[in-house]
Amino acid sequence: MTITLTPTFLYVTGLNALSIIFFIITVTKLRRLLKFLTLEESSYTLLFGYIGVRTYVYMYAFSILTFAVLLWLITL
Amino acid sequence: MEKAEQIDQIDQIIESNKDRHFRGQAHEEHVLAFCRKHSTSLFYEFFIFGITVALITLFMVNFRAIADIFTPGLLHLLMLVVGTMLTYYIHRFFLVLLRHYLTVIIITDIRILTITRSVYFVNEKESVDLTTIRDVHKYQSGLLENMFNYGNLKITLGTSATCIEMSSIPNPEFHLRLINKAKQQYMEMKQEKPLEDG
Repeated sequence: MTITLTPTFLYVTGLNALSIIFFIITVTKLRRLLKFLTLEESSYTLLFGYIGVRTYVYMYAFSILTFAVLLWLITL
Repeated sequence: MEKAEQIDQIDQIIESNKDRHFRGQAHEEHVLAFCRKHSTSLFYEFFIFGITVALITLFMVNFRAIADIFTPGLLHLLMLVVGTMLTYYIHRFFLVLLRHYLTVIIITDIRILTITRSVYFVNEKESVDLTTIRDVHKYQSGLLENMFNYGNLKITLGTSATCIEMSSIPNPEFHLRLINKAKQQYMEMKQEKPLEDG
């Protein structure tokens, strides 16, 4: 698979980089906010029982990375 | 002597209840219960997210067929626009989830605290002293609310007859009884304290 630096590819790379940076900033800020709210961090949901903030952060990371990879694959 | 004083100070800090569970918690304030909004408030967001994921999957599976319909230039433009919108949407979806976690209602033995917080945009805190509460009403109407045991609590304040409404509270019966009990105990405690002081 050859990678050619088309404008589309560069735009998608920039978008994904911004996306990942935004995710890192969000998680850093969230850690700081949760530090002052030392109550139980998990919340009960109907279908899946107790789900913690950590699970949602992992889902967030997985979604961002999967979507970034899909966008790159499409541009290639 | 100095070391003993330092140890005493550390012991006092450890025993202190200040900011133990949330920012702004007083020394003698104890958390009785806290809750977040019921998970059904996220149902709409999860539903839309599910549809979005299904559409993305369909698009990826039938990509070649879709690519044949458009010219290369138009296809690239479409991908850029749709890709940007979907990236924004995915971030927005998870920010809404995190906002759900950061929005908490805390009932202590002194007050009721409603913290509405998001990661970037919203930072609201509402504190209601238990002695200013006149009435507490519970509303649980509809099939979903009764089946999944959630509802609204409406707190009427005595001083200005203003109402504070808290929606999608899980197990509202428990919280209603807790607020009434905490209010009664707090008022009894306040009445006893002047007598003790003489």
